[in-house]
Amino acid sequence: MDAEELLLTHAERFRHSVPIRLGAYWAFLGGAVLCTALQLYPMPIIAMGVVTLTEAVVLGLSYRAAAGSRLMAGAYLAFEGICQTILFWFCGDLRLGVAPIVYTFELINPGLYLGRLAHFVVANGLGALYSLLILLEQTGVLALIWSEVPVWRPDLGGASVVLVFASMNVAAIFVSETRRLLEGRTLDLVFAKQALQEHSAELEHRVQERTAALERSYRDVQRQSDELQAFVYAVTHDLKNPLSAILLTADLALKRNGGALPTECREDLGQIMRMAGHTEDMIRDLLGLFSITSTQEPADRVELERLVSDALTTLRPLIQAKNVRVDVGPLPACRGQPTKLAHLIGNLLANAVKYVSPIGGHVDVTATVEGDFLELSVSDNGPGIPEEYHERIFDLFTRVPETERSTGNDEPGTGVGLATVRQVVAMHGGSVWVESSPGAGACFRVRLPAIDSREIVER
Amino acid sequence: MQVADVDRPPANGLTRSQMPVLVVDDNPGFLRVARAVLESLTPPFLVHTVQSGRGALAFLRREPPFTEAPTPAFVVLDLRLPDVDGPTVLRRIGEHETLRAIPVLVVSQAKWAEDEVAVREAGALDFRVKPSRVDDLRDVFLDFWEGHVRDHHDSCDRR
Repeated sequence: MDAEELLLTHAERFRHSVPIRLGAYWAFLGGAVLCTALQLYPMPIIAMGVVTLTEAVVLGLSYRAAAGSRLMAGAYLAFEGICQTILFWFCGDLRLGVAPIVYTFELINPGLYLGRLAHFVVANGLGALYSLLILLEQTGVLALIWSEVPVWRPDLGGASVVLVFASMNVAAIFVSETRRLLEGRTLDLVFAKQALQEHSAELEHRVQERTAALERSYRDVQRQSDELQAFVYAVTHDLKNPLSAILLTADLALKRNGGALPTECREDLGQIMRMAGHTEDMIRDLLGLFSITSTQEPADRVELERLVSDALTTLRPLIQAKNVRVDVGPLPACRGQPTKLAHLIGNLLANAVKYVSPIGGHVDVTATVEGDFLELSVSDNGPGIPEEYHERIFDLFTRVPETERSTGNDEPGTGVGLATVRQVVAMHGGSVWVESSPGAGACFRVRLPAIDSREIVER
Repeated sequence: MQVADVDRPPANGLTRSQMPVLVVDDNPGFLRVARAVLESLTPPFLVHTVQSGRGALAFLRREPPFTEAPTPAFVVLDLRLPDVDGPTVLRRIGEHETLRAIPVLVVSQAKWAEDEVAVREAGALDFRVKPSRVDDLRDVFLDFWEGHVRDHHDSCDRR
């Protein structure tokens, strides 16, 4: 079924063909009457009129059936072809001129859809009908058109009036129907064009609205980003300045007087430096957290194995110093922001290595894939984390004091590392939690989006 | 003072005891420590301090109340000052015929890329992060002295 056939339903096609057919029948008959009246060639007008009327009546009777079925429409076409051929028999010598024209008209207005091949089938079918007529004449079944044709004198009286009225009404039906058909088609086009224009205008309006909204939200984001930048700038300078001066002054006091100071005084100054130094570290890490989480980065394919090996390279001195055994299983690829994920991995591994015991320390890195997500696990056999800290440990600046003491680290953590991990995980639509109990080590699990299955196929 | 000094013997007959230095910072705590460090060196610098950008420019131009000010051998300038910012002070120094020859060390709490570009374009010879330990601060000053001042200092108005 090609597109042309779908343009109209069969019923529509047949319906459209009817007024044109009627017009054609009447036009043909009118032509024959004219011919006879002008004495160009006498034709048996009455007989031809009867045949034409028969055609019209059959058309009317079979209208419903033919409109509903292609087969019936085809059957009517065949019937029409037969009737026309009979009319050619009446046309006598004029038949050779008339037949192709009339047959062609049937090809143009068949009342049903004809494919390319079907046109040839119908054309040759009509030719076959004509051949049948010739055969019947040649073999004497049909008489050649009688030479004595009852001359029909056109009536100049009342009957002609009736005929004229009848013809005009038929013409009116024919013309009005044709006009309605053509104009209807044009009207459809006009409506379609109008609808398209309205739709297009609506679309453009929507696009403008969306663009304006987008620009507004972009400006908001810019403003927020600028505000954040200004805040970070202020914190860096105005907070670090006095803190730095505290450290320098305490340091100066120790260096200036050194041995002359009583022990407690030296220790007091040392305490000041430790605490101020720790605060400086906290500010530094906090600024790091801001910097990491506010950097714009497009999502990309991230190889977790590479991130882990990079982090382990950075931690190598500590790993070797503490003689920690690190096992890394096969890790899948992830979909996310590379720099942020690098920090996430770095923080988890740094924690694991830092808080594992100096004797027999063991860190394990594994991952599993579950549908759209992967679950990364970093576990250590350190002192573990008490239950009440399992949620709070991801809060900013929250550390577990017992862990600091038991692992004997010189520099306690700032409590920003896991807060960073939580932020990064949230930005990826994932989650992070810890499974641990004191004395039984800790296992940090991170849920992140796995790489698209589409990308796996492309690989 | 127990601060060890690893400086080389002075060349060209220039010694630090003749050298005035201007330190510009709005944090008096830092000024106090900077003075102590610079004066603790053997031989020591002669330290002058101001706490604002306008003060720094007045000192350098010998405007009141600094009409008797000496020309410093170099200037230590904090980037974030309350009135006029560091790069502006630098530019004003650069516009002045005699002043632009004075080496300037810019210090700040952090090295932001935008700041570094602005500072170098305005004519600073170096930009360092302010350390929080006395030994590191001393190293910063000595690095600048050896790298940018001592050997390149040709004329200096000694008063």
